[in-house]
Amino acid sequence: MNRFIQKVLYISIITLITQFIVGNVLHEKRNKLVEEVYFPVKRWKEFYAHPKKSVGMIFLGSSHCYRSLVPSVFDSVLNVNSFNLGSSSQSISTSYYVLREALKFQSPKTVVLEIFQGTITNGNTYIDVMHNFSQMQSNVKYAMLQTVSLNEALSLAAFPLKRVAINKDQILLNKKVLPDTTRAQYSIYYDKGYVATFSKNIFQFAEQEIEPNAPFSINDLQLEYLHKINQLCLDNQIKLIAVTQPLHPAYWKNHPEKEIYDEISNTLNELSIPYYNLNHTHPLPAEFFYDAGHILHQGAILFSRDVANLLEQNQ
Amino acid sequence: MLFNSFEFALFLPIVFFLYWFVLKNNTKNQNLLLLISSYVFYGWWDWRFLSLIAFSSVVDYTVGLKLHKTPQKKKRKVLLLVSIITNLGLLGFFKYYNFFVESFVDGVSLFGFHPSPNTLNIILPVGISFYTFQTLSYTIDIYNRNLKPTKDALSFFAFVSFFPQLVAGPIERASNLLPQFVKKRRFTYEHAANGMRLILWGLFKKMVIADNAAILVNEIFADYETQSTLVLFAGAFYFALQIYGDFSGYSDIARGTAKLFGFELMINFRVPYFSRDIAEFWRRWHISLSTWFRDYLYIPLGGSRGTKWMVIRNTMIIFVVSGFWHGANWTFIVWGALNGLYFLPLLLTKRNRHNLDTVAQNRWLPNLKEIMQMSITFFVTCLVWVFFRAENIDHAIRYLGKMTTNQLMPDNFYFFPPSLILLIGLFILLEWFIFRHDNALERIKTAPIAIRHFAYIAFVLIILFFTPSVAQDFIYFQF
Repeated sequence: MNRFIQKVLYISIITLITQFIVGNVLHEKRNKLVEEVYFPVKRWKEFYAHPKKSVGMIFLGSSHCYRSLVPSVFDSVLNVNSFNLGSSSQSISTSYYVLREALKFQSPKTVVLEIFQGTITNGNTYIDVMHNFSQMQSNVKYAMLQTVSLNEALSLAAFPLKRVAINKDQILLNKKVLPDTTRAQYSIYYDKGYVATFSKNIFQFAEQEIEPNAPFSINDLQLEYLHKINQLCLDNQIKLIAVTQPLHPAYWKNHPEKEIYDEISNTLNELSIPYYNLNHTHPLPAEFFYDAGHILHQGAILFSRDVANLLEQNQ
Repeated sequence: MLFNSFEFALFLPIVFFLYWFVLKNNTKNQNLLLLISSYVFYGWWDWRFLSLIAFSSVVDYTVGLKLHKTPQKKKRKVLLLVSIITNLGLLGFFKYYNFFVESFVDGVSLFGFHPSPNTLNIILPVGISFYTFQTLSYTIDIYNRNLKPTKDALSFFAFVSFFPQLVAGPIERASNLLPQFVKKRRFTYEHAANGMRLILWGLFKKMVIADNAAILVNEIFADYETQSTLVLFAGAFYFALQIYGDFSGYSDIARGTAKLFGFELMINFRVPYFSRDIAEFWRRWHISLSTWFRDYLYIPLGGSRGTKWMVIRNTMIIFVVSGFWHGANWTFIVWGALNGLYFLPLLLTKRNRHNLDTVAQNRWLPNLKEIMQMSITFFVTCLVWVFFRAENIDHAIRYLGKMTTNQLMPDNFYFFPPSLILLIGLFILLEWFIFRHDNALERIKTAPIAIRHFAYIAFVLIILFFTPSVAQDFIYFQF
């Protein structure tokens, strides 16, 4: 019996140590790839380098935010100093902690929250932890524990190899590869958090990126944090505005657009948050899309101009 | 509680510690611990359904004792019927009620009647098909005087609910498992180490092979209309791997876990995809269920004795019922019937027991004839699996139809990720070179210590790294 337990413990300890070393080495490697594609380090570094209380407008949201809302366009139209703190798969709950961190350094008058059904219908994932919180100077552990389940947090802490293998299915199956090094060739970090996307997806997988027909409802955690963001903005006298980026018509093949955005719109109405769904009002032609969900730099300029004009008109 | 969950990773060592360290000298207390642990394990999913297991156990324990004391044939039959009606009644209600109602409505609507169906929102209790069959075999064996009932209620209750095999088998016979509860269990290093190896191998099959294949299978079956022939064949191939990895993986973990507590469960899979004909396949696939149906249905029906028509009838019944056991859907019935049709020619030409040995006896590699036989058997099995996986018959027929009418080659190799193909290749190679052993890791137990430990660690790392982020339920939980 003792021999068995000793052996199991011995092999478990060696395995833990091995996976810890391998995991951390690979994690570092992965972080480099993440930076090549999503630029979290550059974004936060630039943000922290801004003089205190100099940023008047902050954008929060997913890749539909940091690849679509161009600060320089807003700066010229609205005469503000804006900054894009969007990040990959950033959910509303993540946006809340990003905003809290941002408010420690800046006092924006306006926050533009990008709303995408893909991030408002799901709970948080490892990706949030990886791409969003990892570069924040403070609150990281607190934010993680608040938004990621204890199981996930423990699992991440104990098994760095699991951290590397985030979206392992995608890594293994070689699709929607995160980090997508092919996309890296077409992504350029401009400034103020914005990443420009060039050229079309060479694999033409636009339609395959669409998840089929999941029944739509706003995730409870995200709804709770939408209220929290609203309250945080009210407490700090910040104007909160919600926007939705136009999506490729192929995207709607499997998604009941009206049902989705009616529910989002009703929820935002209840909270008196102005909402601009540019899918309805300012759709973009197919040539402005990188894939079904993301727009190219030229599309981003148009979209940003449209949003900036709407904000100007409704000031 | 899932075997591949954080909860189980805590639960197992706690039960193991209490079992061997706190209660080591008291078999009764160990059984009590196993019973409580099994109820916790099952109740973790939904505690309300514990009452079903308890009820089923009470009925069969009582019927078993009464059967033993009752000499009159008629009374014995009534007692047997009580057990059969109770167990199949529970199974029928929870698993098949809605299916029967809907099928009845569909059937009469063909004649112009349109009754409004009165279906119920019934939750299928996990593992009900497994434990009801297990308790049923106990009563039938006593009725046939092949087994004496136990007076030890605790052992019997622990036997019915034994957590390693409670929810997805193997379906154990009382004659094998029940005596193990009565006698004192001894811990042996070799036995426990084998258990750990089985658990590790089972986790690899489930979490790396089955769960990754599942992602591709789901996508291909959901969007089959537009896929090329090659991708549709790949979908059927991946599903064959998924269901094998999933179910045999579960059986391995169950057997390994049982070994840790000094129990020996039956082998449920013997590398079925290396079978040379469908008869051999069914001797190697889900052995505990196949032998259950053989002993309690096929043989009582007359088996292969009698006229040709009787043999055909008996064979088709056993395959159709076996298909229906898997789920309340016509797809499973068709799947069973197709296997029966595939099996019949062998039976009728008396070639069903040609391949009783293992392929490539005393050789490393199969010969050309064996390769052909295995390829054809596997190919047909994959095609038939389409019915098992499809949502409904129409879906399956359309899927198979598209296999021949869509364009041959895909526009890209999206569904052929090199890393997964490599892992599958490695898995098949390991399966081939170990298939005369219990599991892949058993093969290396005599290797030098450094190689052994390296292999164990490598397997854990592979599992950690390649397990998909969204855990998939074990397929056989729904049966």
